[in-house]
Amino acid sequence: MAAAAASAPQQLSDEELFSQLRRYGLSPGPVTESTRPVYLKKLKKLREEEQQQQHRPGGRGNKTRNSNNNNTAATTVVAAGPAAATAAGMGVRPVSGDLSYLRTPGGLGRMSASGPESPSGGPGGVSAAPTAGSKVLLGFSSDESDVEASPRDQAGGGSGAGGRKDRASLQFRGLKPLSAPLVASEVTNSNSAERRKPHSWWGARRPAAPELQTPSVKDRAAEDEEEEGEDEEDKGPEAEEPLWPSRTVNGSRLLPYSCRENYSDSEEEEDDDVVSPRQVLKDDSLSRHRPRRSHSKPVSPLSAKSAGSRLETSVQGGGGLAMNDRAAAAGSLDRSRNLEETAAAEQGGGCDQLDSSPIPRYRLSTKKLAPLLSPPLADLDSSLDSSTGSLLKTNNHIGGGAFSVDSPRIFSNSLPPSAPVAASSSLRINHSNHTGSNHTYLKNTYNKSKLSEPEEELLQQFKREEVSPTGGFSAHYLSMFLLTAACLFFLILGLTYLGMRGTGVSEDGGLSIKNPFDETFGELQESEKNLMMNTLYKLHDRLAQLAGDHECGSSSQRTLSVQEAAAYLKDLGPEYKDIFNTSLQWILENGKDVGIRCVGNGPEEELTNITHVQFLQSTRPQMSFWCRFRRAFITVTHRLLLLCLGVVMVCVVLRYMKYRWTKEEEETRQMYDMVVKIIDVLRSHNEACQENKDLQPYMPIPHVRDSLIQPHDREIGDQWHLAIQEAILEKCSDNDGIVHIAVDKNSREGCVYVKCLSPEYAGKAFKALHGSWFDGKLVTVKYLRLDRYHHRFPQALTCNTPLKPSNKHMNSMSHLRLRTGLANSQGGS
Amino acid sequence: KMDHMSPRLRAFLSEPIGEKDVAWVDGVSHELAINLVTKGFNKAYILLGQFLLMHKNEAEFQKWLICCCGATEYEAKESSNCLKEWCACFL
Repeated sequence: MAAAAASAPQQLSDEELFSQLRRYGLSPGPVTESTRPVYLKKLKKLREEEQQQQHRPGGRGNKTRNSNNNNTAATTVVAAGPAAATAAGMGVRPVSGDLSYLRTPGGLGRMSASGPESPSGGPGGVSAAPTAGSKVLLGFSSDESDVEASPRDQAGGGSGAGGRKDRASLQFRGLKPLSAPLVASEVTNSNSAERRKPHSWWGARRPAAPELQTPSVKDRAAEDEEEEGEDEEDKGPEAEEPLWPSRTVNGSRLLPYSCRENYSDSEEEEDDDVVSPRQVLKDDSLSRHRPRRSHSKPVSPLSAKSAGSRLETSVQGGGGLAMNDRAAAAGSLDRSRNLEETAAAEQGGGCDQLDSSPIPRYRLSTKKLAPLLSPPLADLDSSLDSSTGSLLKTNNHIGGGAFSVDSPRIFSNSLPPSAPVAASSSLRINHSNHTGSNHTYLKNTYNKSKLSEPEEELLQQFKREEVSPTGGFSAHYLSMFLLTAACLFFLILGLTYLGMRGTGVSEDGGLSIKNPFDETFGELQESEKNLMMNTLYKLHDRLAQLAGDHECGSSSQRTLSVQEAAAYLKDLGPEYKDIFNTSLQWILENGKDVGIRCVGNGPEEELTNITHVQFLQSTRPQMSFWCRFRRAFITVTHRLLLLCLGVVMVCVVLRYMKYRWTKEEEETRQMYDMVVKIIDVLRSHNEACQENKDLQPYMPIPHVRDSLIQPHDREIGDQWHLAIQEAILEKCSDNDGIVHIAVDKNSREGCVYVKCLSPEYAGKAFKALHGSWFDGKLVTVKYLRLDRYHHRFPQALTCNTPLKPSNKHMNSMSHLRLRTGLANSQGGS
Repeated sequence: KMDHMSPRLRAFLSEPIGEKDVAWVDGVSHELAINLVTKGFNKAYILLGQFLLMHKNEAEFQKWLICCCGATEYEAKESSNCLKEWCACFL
């Protein structure tokens, strides 16, 4: 195949080029004169990759990817220059003397010069390029990086490795613009084969466990990661440098996976970033990974966190945390993610303190293999999602894998197995089942509970915080309010109860009777006084009882006639009868309220003589306790009801006022929005002015079309076209050369015809209207020949006076409904 | 969605492509327009045709623009984006 493919590019016809490209799995467009160079270059790339794959075991440097990267990136043209020169040269030759090529990166310029000279040198050049490229642009393939690594490692040159990484990162940036699914697939194969090399090489060096030959690249990548990670952790800085190239390789290999299918890869990238030590190059790699992080956003927090926690375990101390922080910061994660990371790191650290050194490696590996899952992350994500809201995606991803989260932890204590083999979570779980010992299981539960505890604490915290500020506030006040209301109620009840006095007052009445009694009836004897007092008391009681019965509704009679009173007294005793009249006299003369009131026949009759008195009435009815209580209760309730009613009325009034107020505010806000939109429209059309080219030959007339049709739907009747005219005039308010406007009502596109006095005015109107926005649609303007205009609108022949907008308040604009869906505006007039 | 487009792009997308000159395509500078016209791509629809011939592959189109028409990276990106948007709207 290599021989067949090695036919010189310039001999390929278009069809052959096409078929060659198809053979590589591409689906290119037709190969024409102009597209030929592009496709030739692509074919060259593919061929070189192919050759490189075949030659790889021989330790040939990777030129293909370098040349791939160099294609469009300006930075890495150098290496690809000679390689691409031949390809492009072929294409360049047919179009000679094109100065535009000088604009391209210098390589092309060189190409055009050297192209014709080196058709035969093409293959040689191609073969030369790889070796050159391998030296110049490294880091993309594992081969050369390893090849470079070994002497470097022996030399212990960290800076060299750093430099490589640097270039690699540069190269990745160059590679980024290429959408290279093809390249990815190619690279995958090549990488998968290449990885075996470093494995064997590293295997000799490291005492660690053998690598695991797994079918999927992913796993192998994970393997490499873990082993390298372990090396790094175990050996420290000395082993870091040699790891870098392979790390970069991984990273570079992962770069083509920018299709984002492979979360584990991107996670590995993260691992690369975080685990590689804190040297200058970290920034490069981070910057390199930054765009990728933005791509693999859902994964990055997870992987960053896992990386962070891993680092915490492996590299005890603040270094890991510093790494986490830097990784997070460099990856431009938000604070919440940092929080999660540190929390995860802390948890990871806490849990893994018991682990021995080989264990972190497997934790790493398992964590890596749990692409979307890392234990602290899953839980924390779910808990913090509500707060951050930025990791909802992660939650979705994690959702299914929450259970498998535990398995990595189990692995941590298990023997080094073919543990990370299983890519699926179920397999991992099975492994955990197999390999879990009591200790691991306990540890797992401990870890899990530990995880869940802080997670739940966080959850609770958030819940509490959510609930307490709002609910607690009102609940507290509500309870207080209810308490005071109840107290008040009972207080009022008691007072009212007391107000309904009954027998308790009789003493007062007695007292009040006694004093005036001394004044007026001083001449009477003591016995008579006592008799009178007793009579009065008895009368009082009887009357009070009667009144009480009357009040409480059981009896209908309130007053006692004099005769009945006399009869009652007589029943009590004969002595009362005599004293009855004097008592009555005393009551009459006594102005104060003694509990008995004398009532005559009529309502206002003067009671000067006892003969006028017909009825006796008690002013202080004596009621039973129950009756009193009932009355008090009723009274209090009525009063409370009135109070509540009053409060409700006040509330209603307030609410109504508030409603009106907000409505007015809303209206003004809408109006301001409209104004702002109008201003935006005018500003945008100022920016978007395009000159119309065919301006010269005739008298131009601007011809506005295309979005003035919208108001049709909303305006009824004949007014909309007037509104449009007004709008146009307002927009061109500084233009006094418009003499005629006609709105074409039957036009589907919304054509409006405007006649201006001269081409200058027409140009002004064009500038003002073209590219402006009207009712959410773009307005475009075309010039029209004057004779056509007059043919269409003969009435415009005589128009010579400039038109002005009818009023100054932009009413027509306000009638328009903008596309944002504002409600119908209430424009003026 | 329409808010972040440049006015030029919006203008290009809001109308049929018609017989617009290739300079109307967003991202095509004056120089690039001259180059394109020299190569025979004097109308926007011809450039669109090239874009479609390359199977609407933005990267390829950009490469071609840079290599064969002397566009800068930025110009190539803008043009391919403009044509891609046009295709999304109208095809």
